[in-house]
Amino acid sequence: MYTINQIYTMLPHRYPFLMVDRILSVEPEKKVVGLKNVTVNEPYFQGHFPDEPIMPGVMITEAMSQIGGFVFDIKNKRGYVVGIDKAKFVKPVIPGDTLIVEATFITRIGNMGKVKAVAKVDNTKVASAEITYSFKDLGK
Amino acid sequence: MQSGGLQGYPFEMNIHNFLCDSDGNATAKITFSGNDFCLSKKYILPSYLIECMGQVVEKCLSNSENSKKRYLARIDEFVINRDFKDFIGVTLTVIAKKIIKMGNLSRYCTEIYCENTKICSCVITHSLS
Repeated sequence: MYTINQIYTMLPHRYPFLMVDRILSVEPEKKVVGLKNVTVNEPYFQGHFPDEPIMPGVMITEAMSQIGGFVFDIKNKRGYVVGIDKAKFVKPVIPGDTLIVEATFITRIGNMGKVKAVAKVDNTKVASAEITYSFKDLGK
Repeated sequence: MQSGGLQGYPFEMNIHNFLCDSDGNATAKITFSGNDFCLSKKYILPSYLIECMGQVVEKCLSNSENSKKRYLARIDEFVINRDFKDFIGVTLTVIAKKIIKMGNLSRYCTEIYCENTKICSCVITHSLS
């Protein structure tokens, strides 16, 4: 398990764009499970939508992307999202929900990797996507 | 200022010069400021570029389906040129081409360019209700 302080050392993302609160389990190059609490204080709820707070689909995708990156066993490189495919948004995610993202390793070839991520709330699927990353040496 | 739809600050993208033809295809310009929420860190999230494309599509849909709510249902084939980094002070062009409308689903192919440089593209499907 990785707590938020450990996540800070592994991901460059910070407020307001850090979309993962905890990594619950990691099996390198196989599967990762992460968690993100959804709260009404998050800045995008102010505008999405003013009368009905719903977590934007693209921010759910961002959470899946950030959690999915943990599945790769790669040192001294940073992963960049270069592709998203088959992203489906099945149910709205609202403040008070706890988003659990399960990302499964699909493939890694050279400096490219791909995962399939499924996001759930209360064990019900709310979104899924296939995400492709490109890995570059840190400092480049 | 024209906007994509029902979004408000800080999730409303700065869409202007929106033009839509009778077939439902559209172009629009988007600009960012260093004061924009989505650029409060150094690099824009790819997710925000998808949101830009999505809001231009929603603007197209509002022309023909104004009484209906529009929800993002699918994103497919999103690819991004990560070598492009200078989003502040440039004008981006969003192109949205209608692929199909089937029942309550509407699908568009969208692209974002900076002059002649393609930044990203994807296929976006909205659900109308």
